[in-house]
Amino acid sequence: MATARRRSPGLRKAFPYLLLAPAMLYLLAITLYPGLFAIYQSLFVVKFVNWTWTGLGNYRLILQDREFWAALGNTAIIGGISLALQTLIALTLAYFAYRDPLIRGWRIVFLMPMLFMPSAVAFIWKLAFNDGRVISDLLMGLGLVEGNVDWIGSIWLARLTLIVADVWQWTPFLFIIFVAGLQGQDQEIEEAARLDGASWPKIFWNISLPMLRPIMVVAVTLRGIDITTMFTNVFVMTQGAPGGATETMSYFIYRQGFRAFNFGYASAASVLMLILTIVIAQTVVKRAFRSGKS
Amino acid sequence: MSIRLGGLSRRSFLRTGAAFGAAAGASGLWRPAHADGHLPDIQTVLDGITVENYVREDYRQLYGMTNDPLWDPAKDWIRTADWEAIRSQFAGTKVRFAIGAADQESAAEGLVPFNQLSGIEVELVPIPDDSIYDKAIAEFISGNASFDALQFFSAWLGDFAAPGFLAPLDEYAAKWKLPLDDFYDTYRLNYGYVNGQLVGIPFDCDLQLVHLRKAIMEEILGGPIDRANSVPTYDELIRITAEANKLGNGVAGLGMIAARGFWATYTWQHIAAQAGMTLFDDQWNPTLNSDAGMKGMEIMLALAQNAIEGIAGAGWGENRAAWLGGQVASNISWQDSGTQAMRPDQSQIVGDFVTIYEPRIPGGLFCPPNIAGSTSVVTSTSPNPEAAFLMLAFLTTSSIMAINEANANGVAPGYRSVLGNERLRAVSQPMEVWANSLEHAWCSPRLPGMFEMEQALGNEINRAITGQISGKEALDNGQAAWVAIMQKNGFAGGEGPISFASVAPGLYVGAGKPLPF
Repeated sequence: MATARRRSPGLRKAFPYLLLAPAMLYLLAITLYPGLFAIYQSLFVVKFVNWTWTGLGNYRLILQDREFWAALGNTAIIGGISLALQTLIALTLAYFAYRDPLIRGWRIVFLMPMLFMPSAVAFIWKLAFNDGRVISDLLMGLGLVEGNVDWIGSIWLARLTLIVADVWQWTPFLFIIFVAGLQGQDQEIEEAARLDGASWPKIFWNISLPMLRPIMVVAVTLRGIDITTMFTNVFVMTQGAPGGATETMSYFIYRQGFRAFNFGYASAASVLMLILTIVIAQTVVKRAFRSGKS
Repeated sequence: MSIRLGGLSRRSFLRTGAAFGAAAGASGLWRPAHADGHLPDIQTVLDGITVENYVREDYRQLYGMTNDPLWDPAKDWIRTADWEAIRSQFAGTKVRFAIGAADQESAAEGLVPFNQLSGIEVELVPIPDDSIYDKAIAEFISGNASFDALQFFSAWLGDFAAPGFLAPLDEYAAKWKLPLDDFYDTYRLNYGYVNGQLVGIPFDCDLQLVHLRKAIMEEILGGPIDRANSVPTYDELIRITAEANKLGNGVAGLGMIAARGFWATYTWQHIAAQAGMTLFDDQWNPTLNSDAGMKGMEIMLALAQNAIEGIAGAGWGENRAAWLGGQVASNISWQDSGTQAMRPDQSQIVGDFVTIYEPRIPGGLFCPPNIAGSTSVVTSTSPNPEAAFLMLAFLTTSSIMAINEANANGVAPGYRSVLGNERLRAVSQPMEVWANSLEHAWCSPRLPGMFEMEQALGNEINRAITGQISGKEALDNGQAAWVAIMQKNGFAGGEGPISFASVAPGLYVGAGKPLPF
């Protein structure tokens, strides 16, 4: 009769961790190490292979850098408007769609803008707005404008192009999560409200929406974090023009790192951006869930 | 024009090589070269590098090109090089050449004749097209670049040379008799030398010029365009572009490059140089906001009023599309805007444009600017620097450069013997003006930090173009940024990592020369 092999208690305890170790090491190598390296690098003036210790010098300079604050402001303006529009549109669409049986079967269609390559989407919007004059032609056809619109010559029009492109591509992300959240709710509650004579909008506003709130907060927070790193559209469509009015934080960091070769400075800006994103996300989530509990 | 962040020109250039590779293969020339002496006959390989094998058939038919060379064989390095000696020393060695990933296959074919002539194997190191420059930096910083040779934007030459990333090439150039003297001075001095040491071979040699749409401008000017006298000054250019703007029909008065970063800087440099602007005094103090600098800015802002919508975001690609697409009545851009405008497959304005001599500014200079361009280098960590040098010498030889121009692929020759070739001039409309202007060219020095400085200034100019600040503020801000960047890069008290005396001869090469018109 074969004797069952027994592991030592220590090995038994360690076994799950050993199984996890390769994946953990991999994750640490591609996330933690670059993060720590960026923090370390942010304390130096880095010019290619020459590193000069500067302590918090890069941070001091950044906080006095007009372009940094402008980029932060642009990120807040473009990202904030875009996120608000996406949330509003996604919620409106979800309101109309979540009880529709057809939507269940065709949810993937609504995801399609998200599935396209971001750079290709940005390029098409660039053609539509600027190089190809497509939107200008449409507006002229409708009699809304008389000549070609200089989309990139005006601060707000240039920002609008980025917002439109971002809303088009990423509203489906929120929509699909909202629809899933609404469809997952207990229908008996809605039924009960309806039996009590509540109208459909009232049911949605007073029952479905509050129940959706935790999911909304998470989804909007994730989207918000993603928007703070908006890069592709800026890189392809405006390069920060006009005069830096569309330069987001990611593009600012890229420009400092790979166009000006100020790697320490770019790292410091990245660290500041990370801290800011964490603080804002943490605050939003905390408040939302705290008020949800109360 | 050399800035092809997306790899367009490089790809087109290599497509030329690929065409030859295919032709060589079809004619039985192609056999793998080996170090054991089974290499093909040198003369047979050289005889295959012809117009017929290299230049696109549709272009040959369009312009009735014969198989007569578009270059001077006596100045064509590949026809003067001692291939037997090269084979004996380097056959069997391997060279790694950094190249955009999309070009890998065509480059492999294009380098077949080099392999056959030298026995040197070229291993291509593919780098994603959009990030070739960023990756190159990362490789350099790592201290162990995975390639021996690289082609890049010449404005980066100072940045890459100063930390010692590039191998000196003087010794190899002398040993293998590279015809450096055949290069126009502006290219040789600015794309090749840093601190008096040769570190690059000019690869894509550009000059910015002014191009006019014939029909529109002849209507405004009231007669045929004279290339030297119809638009003698920038004031006149402002006037006629304003007139053209009024004509409508979807055609704006002017196209120019004014996007953020170096783009806007280049256009300002172009115009301000004609007003006599020098970027620095001989103590390395920036002089951007001098009277000449301000004059250039005023003209640029005036021209912007007549420009196509979207110029605040117009880099090379956007400008090229607007010009070749017939959306502008005039254009301030590189000479290849003219060459490519001749090709029906690239242009909608074939036969309806003319490249003119640079308009002048009273009290200034005639000095068309050599802006951008690309150079090719060998890395200092290369284990086979000499073999890598030979590969670059092959790729930049005058016959290949001439054929690039005939193919209008955007990779421009910088050799006197090529730009003076009448057969080539017949298929490249701007070439006469371009060649004559080169003896008077202006160029900015390739300093460590120059690219960053051009970015910083361009961002400010872009703000001025869009009315956020005045032209004066833009130049003052740019000046302050340049001072800070230069200090960071070791320039102080008239001294720096690069001596002013070493770059001075290349900044303006026209002193004392008679005007070409």
